[in-house]
Amino acid sequence: MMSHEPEPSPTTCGAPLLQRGFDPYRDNAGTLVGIAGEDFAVIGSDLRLSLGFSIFSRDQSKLFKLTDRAVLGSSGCWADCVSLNKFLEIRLKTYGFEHNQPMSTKAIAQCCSTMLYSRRFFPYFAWNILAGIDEDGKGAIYSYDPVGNFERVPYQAAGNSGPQVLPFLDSIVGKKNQSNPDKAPITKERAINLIKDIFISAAERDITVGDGTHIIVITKDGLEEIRLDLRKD
Amino acid sequence: MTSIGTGYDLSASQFSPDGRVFQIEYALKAVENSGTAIALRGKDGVVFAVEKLVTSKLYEKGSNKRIFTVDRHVGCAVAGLLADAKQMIETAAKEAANYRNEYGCPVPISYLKDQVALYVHAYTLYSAIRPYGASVLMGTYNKSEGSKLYCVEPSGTCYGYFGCAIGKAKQTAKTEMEKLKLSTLTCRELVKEAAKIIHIVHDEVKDKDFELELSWVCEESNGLHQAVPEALHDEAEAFARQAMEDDSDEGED
Amino acid sequence: MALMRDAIFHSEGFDPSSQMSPCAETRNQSLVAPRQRTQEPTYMSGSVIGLCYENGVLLAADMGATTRFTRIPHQPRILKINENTMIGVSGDFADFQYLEKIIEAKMIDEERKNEGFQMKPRSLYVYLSRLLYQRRNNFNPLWTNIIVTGMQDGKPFMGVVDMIGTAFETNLYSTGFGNYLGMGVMREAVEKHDGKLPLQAAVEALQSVLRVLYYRNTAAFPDYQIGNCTASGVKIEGPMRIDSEWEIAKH
Repeated sequence: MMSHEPEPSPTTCGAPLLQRGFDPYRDNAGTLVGIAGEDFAVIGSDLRLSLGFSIFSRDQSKLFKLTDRAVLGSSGCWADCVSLNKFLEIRLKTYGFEHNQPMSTKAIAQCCSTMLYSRRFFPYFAWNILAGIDEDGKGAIYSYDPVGNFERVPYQAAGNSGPQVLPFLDSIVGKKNQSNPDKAPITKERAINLIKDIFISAAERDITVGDGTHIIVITKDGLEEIRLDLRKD
Repeated sequence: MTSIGTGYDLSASQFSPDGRVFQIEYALKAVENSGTAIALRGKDGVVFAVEKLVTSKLYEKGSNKRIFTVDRHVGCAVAGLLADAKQMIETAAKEAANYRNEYGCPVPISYLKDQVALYVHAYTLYSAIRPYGASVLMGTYNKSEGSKLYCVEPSGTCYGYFGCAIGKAKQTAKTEMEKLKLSTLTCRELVKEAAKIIHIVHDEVKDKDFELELSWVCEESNGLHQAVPEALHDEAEAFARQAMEDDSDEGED
Repeated sequence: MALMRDAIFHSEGFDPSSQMSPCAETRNQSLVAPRQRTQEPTYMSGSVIGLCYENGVLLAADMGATTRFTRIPHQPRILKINENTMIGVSGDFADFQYLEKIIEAKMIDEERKNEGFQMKPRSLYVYLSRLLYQRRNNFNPLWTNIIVTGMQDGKPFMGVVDMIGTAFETNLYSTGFGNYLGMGVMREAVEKHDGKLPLQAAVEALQSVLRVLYYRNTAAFPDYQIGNCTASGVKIEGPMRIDSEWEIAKH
């Protein structure tokens, strides 16, 4: 980018130092929860877009419908989230043209990671959860960090309330640290209700969560959307 | 074209012994193969009219237009190879946009036409490329300076005109124009005259079908280059048809 | 040596004199130093406020720009883009004027090529969000917040873009101080009319926000414009003057 610079600064490993007063990141918060079941996956986000104490929007879902069997949730720096998803959309389109079929959830998962890692040294400040149905028809949740590390997990919570919600999911969905837990797989209804409850509770504790929640249920029949109002204060 | 076939016509970078560059003359031929385009400069603006030959019934109405807007205040009518003409228009548009960006005001046409002419001229100098096979009529109007009209040719020459015609029937069209007192006429009147000229010069035997394109940049359009209002377009077309009929009636007498 | 010089240069604050001084030493330094890009704005303008109402959308902003010490009054900041789009811009005034230019060039291109088809507000909103995001990626931001409004397929539209490319659609918004002081007033107006806010009530809400902003912000100006976009086009009214009461300040 800056190859015409006569003498790159050695203090910045060859890359010229570009930044001083300007901070390119904003934390617009947002919380995401995803749960995978036997033949479904559910993902939910709150609808509040904020910066510090000011609310930008009370109706901004952080879920991006990628295909009819995969949904990506992105929260963090909203500018980065939107951009990442725009580029991803382009990738999905071109893939569709080249292969005559939509990208599989597994391929999307890898693609997301590659795109995140492509900005390893100027990361997308975005916390992502990918929810979908895999090739075998099983529910899948993929969890990412901002630079593209990812793994397939049975459930995940991310974003502003992620750290508070995740241990709760560990206990209720993951049945961790319980003696003789009921290991029956979670049902769709239970997962949906759980996510609703999680957002209702998170809205009580986290100022960035509120206004409403957007939940998408992914099954082999496609996407089903649910919206629920949350407290607006 | 006495020296055709003597080897001096293969390259734009070589003169013939009698001092001509044949490639340029051939480019002019390309312009003369195209339907006629005229521009009339009246006291309150410039009117463009194009005889757009419709070579196939399969074309959608209004396709392959030959009147273009370069900037809000500059209109163009072209004749010759349409793709070449479009490139010239694009060059002019870029130049106009650049001027606006640099100086914050609409580009003066006296400058714009020179830039386009310079660009076109560069294509007459080298052996590896061919000259543009298109001519462009370029006109504008503003309150303080009045109307202006120029024609840029494949050679890179550019003259100012009161009325100009390019394409197939340019001679006949110019003869018709000379009958008019252009500088006393308003654009409203000129639109009709322009339509009439196009109808007169159209050769019904050789080129069956044509569409009449009309545009103006004048007082009435607030100095903007626009298509002539539909009502006026129809009126002009009717006027032209009527004039043709009157003419042929006289012929029969 | 170069390393040390760099370290020193980078650790210093922004010093305009080092950029302007023609002395050999600085010239030499600027060869080594990174290219200077926007680090801070200069002339800034205040809040732009916008509100979708029953059958259109409104934008309002005071007229002028300031530094900490100087003021340029009477500067319009609401632009009509075409018959169904208008934008309001706050932030660095030079960046606003730059945006004004590139948008105009784009509009001329659209007019030229599309023969009557006009860019819709959402397209402009997405375009601006990409532009601003790209600029922030190059660490050369356009220091502006933009509200793009208009009629999108017959419905009122409002999109907000900020200087790093954050982009979202909403029905009411205010940049700057108005974000704290005015959004409540506007939201109350919208909710009171159950989403069917009449024009008059919307204008009154905006005027009351402008008044609060004028009272509370030393950098605000008393003149303002209101732009109204409906199905029948964009109309920008003003300059008008905020009616304010300063008697109490004399005691």
